[in-house]
Amino acid sequence: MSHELERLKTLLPLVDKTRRQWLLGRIREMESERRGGEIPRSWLEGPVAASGLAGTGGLSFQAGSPGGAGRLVSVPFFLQAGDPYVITDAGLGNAPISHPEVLLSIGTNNEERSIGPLEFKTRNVAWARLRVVGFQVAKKYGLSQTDAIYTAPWVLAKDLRVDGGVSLMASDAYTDTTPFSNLIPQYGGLRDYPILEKDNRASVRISIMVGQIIPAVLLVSDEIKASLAMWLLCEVLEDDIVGDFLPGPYARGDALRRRYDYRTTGGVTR
Amino acid sequence: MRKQDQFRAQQAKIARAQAQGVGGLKFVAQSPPGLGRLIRIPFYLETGVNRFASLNGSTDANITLALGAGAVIASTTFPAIVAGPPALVGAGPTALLRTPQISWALLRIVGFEVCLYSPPNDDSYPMELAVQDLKVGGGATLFVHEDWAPASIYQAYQPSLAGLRDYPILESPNQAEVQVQVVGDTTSHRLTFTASIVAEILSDDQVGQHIPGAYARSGAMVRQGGSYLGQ
Repeated sequence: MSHELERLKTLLPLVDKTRRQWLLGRIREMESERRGGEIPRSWLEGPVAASGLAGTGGLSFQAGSPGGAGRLVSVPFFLQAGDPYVITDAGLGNAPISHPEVLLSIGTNNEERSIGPLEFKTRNVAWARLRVVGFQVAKKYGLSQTDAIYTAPWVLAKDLRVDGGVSLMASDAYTDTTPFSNLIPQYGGLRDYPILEKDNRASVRISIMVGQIIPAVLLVSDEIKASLAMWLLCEVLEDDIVGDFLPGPYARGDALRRRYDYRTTGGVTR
Repeated sequence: MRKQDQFRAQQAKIARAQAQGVGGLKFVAQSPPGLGRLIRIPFYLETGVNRFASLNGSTDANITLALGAGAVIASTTFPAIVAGPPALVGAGPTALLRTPQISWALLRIVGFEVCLYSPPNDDSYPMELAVQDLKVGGGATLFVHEDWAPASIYQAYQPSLAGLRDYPILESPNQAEVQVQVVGDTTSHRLTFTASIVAEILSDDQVGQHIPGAYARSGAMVRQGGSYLGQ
């Protein structure tokens, strides 16, 4: 017993915090046993099992979690004006009525490989005050063309802004939206996390490009057919109906702290 | 200490460890990276090279010309680039891509990313994109490989970003640049790609000075010794 006790005490400074907790408990238990006042094991079995120490071999397990109430909510963008190569819920070439998804037909525009620029805007969320924390794009495209050797359509974005604010993307020109894909586990970064007030709207400008080889005789079936939907990721700060939320840690005061704020001191010196 | 007190102390410790009742299972949600972190700055084909063409809305005929040897198409606006097969089997010409000058911010480069699309293969060899010499201004290459390396190393959609030799500052008028080349057959299908640096905004003229992610703070930049140049 004393040899085992010494061994555990030697190990104590070498192990991580979780193990140390367990070792300390075991050492106290053994010392108590030595003094003749043993803690009944049945008292500890439940908490030790709950702690995950027993039987896990030091592994820790993580499971994916929902964001929490009012966190990482999505506010869709809607196309602002019709385009001859776009289909919406209002039909071919028309601006949408109530669906944010658009269908695209690329490649028949007199052999041009592009659509756009198209302007998209969110609609007013009159019942809530939101903080923008991300941007996501969902893109699908057909793989059934028979004649054409085609490529994926590239969805390029610029001027992602909230009302008249600065662009939230780093480049003034177009940026590839692949890092903002809804299929990537990570979220793409933005310059700032601005507030989306109840009467404000966010906007983004989109161009779609393809690198398709179009065959000599262009067939309708050779078009690249794709669908596109985009949305802002937001935290609900205030909700008129269900109350005020506590945003995720990435959108709380400390995470938004700046070393220097131009608004209070009027300019940046490097 | 009485046995019951010992038990209570034990219980309190476990409660503090937040282990009670969850069986040790942790729940994790993916998080946005925070303001000014992990932003992408695209590379553009500023100077046209045969067999590369910026996808800028040109007609199919013009792009086909550029992917041959009859014209060049460059763009400082559109980052998507199409690369055609080489004239002879093997490596094609080299294109130099540059980021724009970002005059409104001081940035730290923390990664490099390529989004790549190769068309489905039929009976031809697939074409590979290779990268070399990622540099800021006149600095050392940020790749560990001196020669070319497959762009797939740096491809998006992977769970984590590939490492770089250094995390240098990108300050206007400096630009980041990288060389790209294809290896393929003359009948290989063209591929399209975009490339971008992943950066932290340290200082932004419009929205203030940010606090970078933990990987880009001074504590993470400590070196054991100085540069070999000083030894």
